[in-house]
Amino acid sequence: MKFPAFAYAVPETIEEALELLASDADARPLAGGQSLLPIMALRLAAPSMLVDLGRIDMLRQCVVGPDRMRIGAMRTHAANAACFDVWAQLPLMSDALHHVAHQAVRNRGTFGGSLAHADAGAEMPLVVSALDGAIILRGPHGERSVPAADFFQGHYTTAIEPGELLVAVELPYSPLQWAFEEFARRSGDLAVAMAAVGVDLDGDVCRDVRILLGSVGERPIRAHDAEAFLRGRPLTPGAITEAGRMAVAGVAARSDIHADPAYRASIAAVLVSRALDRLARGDF
Amino acid sequence: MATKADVANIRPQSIGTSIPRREDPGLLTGRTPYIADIALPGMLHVAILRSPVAHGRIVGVDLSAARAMPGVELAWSGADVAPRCAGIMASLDQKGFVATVQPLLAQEEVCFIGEAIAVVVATSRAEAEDALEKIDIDVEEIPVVATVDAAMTTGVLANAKVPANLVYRSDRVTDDVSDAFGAAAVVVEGCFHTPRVSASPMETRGFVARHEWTTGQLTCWAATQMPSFIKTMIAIHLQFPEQQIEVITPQVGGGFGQKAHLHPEELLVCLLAIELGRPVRWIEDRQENLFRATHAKQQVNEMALAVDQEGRFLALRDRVTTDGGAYNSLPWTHLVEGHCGILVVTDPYRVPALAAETISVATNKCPIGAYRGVGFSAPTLAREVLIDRAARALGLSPFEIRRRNLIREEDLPYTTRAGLRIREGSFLATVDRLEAMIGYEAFRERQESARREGRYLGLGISIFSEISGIGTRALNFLDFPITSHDTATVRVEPTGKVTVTTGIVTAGQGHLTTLAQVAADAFGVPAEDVTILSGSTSHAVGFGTVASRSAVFGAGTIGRAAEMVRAKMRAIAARLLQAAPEEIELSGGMVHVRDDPGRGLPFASVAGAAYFAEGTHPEDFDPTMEATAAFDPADIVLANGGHAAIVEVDVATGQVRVEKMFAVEDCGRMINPMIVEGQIRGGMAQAVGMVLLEELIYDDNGQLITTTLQDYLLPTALDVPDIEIAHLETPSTLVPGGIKGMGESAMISAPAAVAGAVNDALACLGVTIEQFPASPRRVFAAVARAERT
Amino acid sequence: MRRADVGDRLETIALVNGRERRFSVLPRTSLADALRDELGLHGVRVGCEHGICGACTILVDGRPMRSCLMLGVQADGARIETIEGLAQGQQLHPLQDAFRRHHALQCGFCTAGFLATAQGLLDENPDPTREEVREVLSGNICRCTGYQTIVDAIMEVAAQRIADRQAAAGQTGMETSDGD
Repeated sequence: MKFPAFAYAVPETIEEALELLASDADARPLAGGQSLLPIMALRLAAPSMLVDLGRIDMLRQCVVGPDRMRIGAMRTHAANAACFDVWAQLPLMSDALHHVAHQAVRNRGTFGGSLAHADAGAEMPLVVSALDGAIILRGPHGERSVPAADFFQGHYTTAIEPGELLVAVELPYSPLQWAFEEFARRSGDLAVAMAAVGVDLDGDVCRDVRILLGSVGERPIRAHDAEAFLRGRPLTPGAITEAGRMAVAGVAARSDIHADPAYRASIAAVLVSRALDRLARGDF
Repeated sequence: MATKADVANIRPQSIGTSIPRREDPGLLTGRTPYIADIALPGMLHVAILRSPVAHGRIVGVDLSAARAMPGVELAWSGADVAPRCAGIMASLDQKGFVATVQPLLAQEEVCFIGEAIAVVVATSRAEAEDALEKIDIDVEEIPVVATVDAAMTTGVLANAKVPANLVYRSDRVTDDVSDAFGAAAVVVEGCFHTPRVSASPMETRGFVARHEWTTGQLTCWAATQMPSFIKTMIAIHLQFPEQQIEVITPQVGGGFGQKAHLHPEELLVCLLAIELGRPVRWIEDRQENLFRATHAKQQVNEMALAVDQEGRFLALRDRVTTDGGAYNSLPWTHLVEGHCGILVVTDPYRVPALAAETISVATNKCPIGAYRGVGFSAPTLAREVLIDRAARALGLSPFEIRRRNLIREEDLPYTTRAGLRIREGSFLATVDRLEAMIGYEAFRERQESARREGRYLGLGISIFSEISGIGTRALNFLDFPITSHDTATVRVEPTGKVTVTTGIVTAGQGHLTTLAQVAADAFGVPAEDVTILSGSTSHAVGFGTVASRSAVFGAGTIGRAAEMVRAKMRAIAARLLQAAPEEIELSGGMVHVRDDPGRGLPFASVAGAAYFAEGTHPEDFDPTMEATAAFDPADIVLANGGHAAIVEVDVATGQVRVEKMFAVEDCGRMINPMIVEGQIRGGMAQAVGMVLLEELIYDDNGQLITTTLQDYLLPTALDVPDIEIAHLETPSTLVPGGIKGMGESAMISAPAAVAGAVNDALACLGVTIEQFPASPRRVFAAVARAERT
Repeated sequence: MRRADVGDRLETIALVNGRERRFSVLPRTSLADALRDELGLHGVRVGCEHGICGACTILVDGRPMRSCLMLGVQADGARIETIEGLAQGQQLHPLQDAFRRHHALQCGFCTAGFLATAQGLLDENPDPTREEVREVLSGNICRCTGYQTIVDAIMEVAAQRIADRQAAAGQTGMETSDGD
């Protein structure tokens, strides 16, 4: 399980990185490498060149604005988990980061790398989708911002075009209270199912609600029907159970060795209900 | 006359104390070498091309592009190997057993995913792997036997050499149980599936060979539990002069049975080293380990237990089918699973009638082999879950029903229906102790109140008797016509220090420490004065570190050899102290007159006299201050004990969490209690893995799906709870110091405790779990089924 | 720009166990293999080569990381600590000593990874609960011990460090009051 041979370059600016990527169609950017390198060790990928983004300081910057935060793609999960602003302004992300792999992987793995890899079972794509974030891509022709809803296209598939680099993510501060629930076989494993649920409660009545399912489909799924059902309703136990059921109704869930579609959907319904229950009890 | 079963006298002093391990400083600092640390000048590296299909006819293997790759020194396919070695012949002198020959590289037929097809040797492992990608193989796929059902019904052969896919069938124990079942107040039955799992030592397999043609010497470094066996097998399979083979065992990074076989790769690496005249190293990678290192435990036990009104067992019926894979592994063969299992299936209970049938079939899967607890784990699981079920049906506590059926003091010696003579054991004391540790009544109350909150707790217990310290008699009982003894050489040095050479090798069990404790007590000297030399076949003969046997064989061999040297120490001391040799004792670092420690000489002085002062020698004294002795116990050594687990099942998701586990172990007199407890905890962690997490999954085409540690789920620190351990000590009369073997018991019996706990948690819902691992998906589905009906 | 073509070795300079070390490796060589084969640091154990088992965990710039999921060339400019740098001469580090006394290792193959993880854990959380220790350790697989004794060893070192610190603080406090 040795890596296949590749050329290697360490650009110091985004422009240099883009030039390198443009020079070789089979070149791939190397962020934290916690997903790409295992795939290469299994010889499921054999890029001709790795463009190591580790020396581009710009990509590690975090800009805290009044209504949103711009987080550099090369910020590690550990750095985000330890960041006061993330904790204070993006509590959903803080919660979800505890579920990302293990400490040694969080110390090296990056926010941008996880999004670009877009594993359906990974937490960060769900978080960015739940918060309606925008992914900032830089290419030879400049920068563009892609809403999360358009960015994640499938398991391992994103809107990144050849030659483009994921440079940052913009996350607006959500007015909702959020709860994150995940089910995995073991701590740190990729999720079998996840739910990110945000509510704005007036007493126990749901003024606004946002429900997203992760690892259930090939990309994060928003549960519009369940949201519509809950809007204006009190979060009673009955409503909570029903919302969970509705969240997965008609969803074509993925299948793997851990869960067939029906089981996966059942788990997701339970997670949505558990998240709502926590929110109703003020436990977030 | 002296025999190999003689039990030498060892008076426990150091034995029984938890001295820290002398192995640890080297391991804790990274200084102790493992197989992957063996680096020799000019060494080359091996990578093996493994079959991408489960069953096929090899039409062609084109190595030309691979041979042209940078760094490549050699590439071989099956045709290159066949003239040099016909393959590993795994046969047993047993009626009806179908022997198999596994080629080192597949010849015409490839029989499972991961079977070796070609090999590349290059200047680095990376280059060898690059070259593998350039090998062009043409394999014509043929129908696959992916399950035991397919093996027995479809008429397709998994291995052309195994007629009807039947490797072995036995009905050694065929009591007529129909009356007992007819008369039973309660009959409990089930069809229990245990998963195909991998022992998964943290260090994968590996082998290094160097052949020096000028001397004819073949030096091998092997990550193995059986170096002496490997040496002889190399000699036989490659027709290589055995006296010129040395097998060196560096520190082994865990074996658990997986490294207790002759593997095809080991012979292959020897051939490559001989061919190339350069050292050759093969280090298995983790994927190869999951594909090709032996698998284990996959059995189907269709079991029924007949019980009377009082909860007494009347009869047990078991039909075991083993999914054994495409070949037999050497030396254990398919027998190591189901067949071994049925021979101990009733122990440690009084079961008046047993009807047991075992069938082992060939499938297009990796061959099964030994893994801690071997074939004992699966039927133990089935039996204990059924006992719990019978207890529930009769309204008895799980402890009480066991008390009513366990072999009691007055039954000993008790001969089981399979013919095993149980001469000792603290079975009832085990149950009492477990019950007290758990606090049974309080647990049931807690379970009740949790249930009212919608939480499902369960308790499972399991009682075992372990054939430990497996020697010739135990192997023969299990139908392996194999002789198994070890030797040790003990030398007293001129300064009174003791050097022991042993055939026992260590894979983390701490033998350098425990054997030193044994030798120290044999001479009455401190353990620091003893050195244990191990790890080379040039030392002593050992059958292998397998089957919980090293404590027994270490004590037996060292005890006997020490006895011979002690006689010389006594003879000199007797002369100097003017006493009879029979009056002389060795203790506290002194050689002294019994009951008169004041009349004595320092051990070192007597040793020195033997070497340097002829005047002290009795007439005709032979000053060979070393002795070699063999040992093999006179009868089967049995350890016993029990396990318990408390779990919580989240019925909404099917997830099972183990809250706490308990163990009672009676392995006779413990050499080092700390090490005993380590063995128990480690085995219990593996039990949690087998019952809740681990499963090697093949699809209908015989493709292995779980090919990384992301899919094959080993238990982590969050999956294994704290474990409370209690000890009972019933000394063995068959082994010096009263020692018994241990190490496997937790993997024999703790899986049953975990499985029983899951079933106990769900019993109130009418749910039974018989297919393992009890993954969330399976538990969820079972609960959903019960809710529908 | 630092770069290497396929097949070119790249000069790499790192501070390894307190000493500046230079080595030249192919970009394809993992950091684990580079440390083992170029610097002879065999205490770095390779268990799965795909980032799951944790045996190869080392400290990079003071934090535990998987050395199988880094490239050797990425060590350039980094501070690397392996098991070989833990003991002070022949004096075992308190974690090593606690592992020994608690029998927190058997075959020893996973041990270096656990020690690196434990160091990282105690740096970040000097007073962890057992559950927190288990949570952090869950990224490392041990097949021998059942984990309990590893948790015991780490908890003991944590408690000892806190006691030492309190004793040191107490002493300082006393000196101050004496001075008043």
